[in-house]
Amino acid sequence: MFIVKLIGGLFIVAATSLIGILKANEYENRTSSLRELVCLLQMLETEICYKSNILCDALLNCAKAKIESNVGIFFKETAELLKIRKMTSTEAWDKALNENLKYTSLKEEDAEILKNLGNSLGTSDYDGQIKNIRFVLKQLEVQISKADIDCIKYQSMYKKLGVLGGIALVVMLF
Amino acid sequence: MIETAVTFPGFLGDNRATILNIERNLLPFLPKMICLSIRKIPETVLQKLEEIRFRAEKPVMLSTSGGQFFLGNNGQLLKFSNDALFISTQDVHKTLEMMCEFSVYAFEEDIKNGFLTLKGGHRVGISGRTVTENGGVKTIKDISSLNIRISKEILGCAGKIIKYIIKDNKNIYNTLLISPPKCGKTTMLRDITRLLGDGDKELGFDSMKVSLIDERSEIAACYKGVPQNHIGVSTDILDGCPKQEGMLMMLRSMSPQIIITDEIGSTGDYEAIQKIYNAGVSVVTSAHGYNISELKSRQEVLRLIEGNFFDRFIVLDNSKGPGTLKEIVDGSTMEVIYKCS
Repeated sequence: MFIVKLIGGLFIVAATSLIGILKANEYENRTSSLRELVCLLQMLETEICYKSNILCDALLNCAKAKIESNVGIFFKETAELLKIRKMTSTEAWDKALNENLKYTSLKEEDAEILKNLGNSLGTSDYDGQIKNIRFVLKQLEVQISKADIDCIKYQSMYKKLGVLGGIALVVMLF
Repeated sequence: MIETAVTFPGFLGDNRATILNIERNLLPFLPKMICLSIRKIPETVLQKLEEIRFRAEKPVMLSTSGGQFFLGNNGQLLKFSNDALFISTQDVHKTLEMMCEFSVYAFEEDIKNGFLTLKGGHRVGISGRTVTENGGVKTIKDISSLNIRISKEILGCAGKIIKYIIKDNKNIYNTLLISPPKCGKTTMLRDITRLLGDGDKELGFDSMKVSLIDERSEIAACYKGVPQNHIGVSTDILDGCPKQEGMLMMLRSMSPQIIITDEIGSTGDYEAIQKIYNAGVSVVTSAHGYNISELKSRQEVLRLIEGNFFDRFIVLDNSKGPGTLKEIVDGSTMEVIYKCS
């Protein structure tokens, strides 16, 4: 009987630890997603201002970049929406953000900042595009430092909480 | 030698290509309501469509060779605006945004010049409020009007004229096309460019090195540098370049046999054409005007005529539809070679 209890207890600890690790990883994923977004936006700036590609091509080229997280999905979806010519670039970017946010590790507040990008995406001259992208980049930098602090604060906490919480639960059940 | 009058069949007949071009390259950009309504216009009317005009918060207007009309809900052409289809300011903006492929920055220069060229060669004129910088136009904002000019490429329309332009299989006469507005001057010039660039076995002349200076992107209608109209296999295009500078640039850089450009008559054209003439390169160009004597009242053109640069004057008019050949006059003797009876 004791053996069975021991194995059960181990399972519980393993499960809660895993939940803790996943929760902790979310923080890490958010910072890396934000960092990659910064890279993609810088790429978009190059695509638009130096290569002078049209918006659709520029977004697709950015989406093709090999990155670890899946934030490229916003770019890809926007490009797809633009291709069917049913909505403006602002509407398309908003729609792509709203529909795909749940597949990324980004938070609602990050999405709000990204929405600013849509306001003048493609609708102004080169200077306007550069200013708009740089403005969003700056805000993203702030988000990254916030996310870094969160990461340090909560990452190890959730990991420990997972393991310890599991042990506590097991002790209580015994 | 006087022949009977001929209106070129191409100008009136086979216009299926025009309709396809409208459907493929223009309708996808238009607001849904307007697009649906235009689709209901009978083909025979659509063939004659010349312009579509959007003015913010005003009824949509269509211009055909039969005059100006308001567009109704179901593709009717109305004389009065009571039941006409209106277009909102947002829709005007949205249309332009789509025409720019959501990339206004890439079309900045075009917008500054007041028009952009769509795939298929349709040209969209833009007006609104200009933003100026250092005395020049920086951009146009608050766009309020769009004028979409339907591209009409009529292959073979210059088939009748071309034999008066060719001297022998390697040389052509310097030619000035004279025509009032809307009589097919540009269409004719485009087809002449195509014939000269391609060469023609039947008429017995070789393909020649043609340089086309397309200041207003009307002849070749380049979209991203690729001509949307047929302008011949051995034609080089300088798109959007001021004529005088362009003519000399092409003369220096592309070693052309023929230089073609549209609408001469501004100051400085004389000097440019003189240089081309001296370099032994032929020139085919056009000018606004009803006849030769009227042209002489314009000083720059008068200098060109008196300079004896042109061997052929070809006058077009609208008497039997756009592109009717009125007369052809020899430049040196002023003798009428052909006259429409």
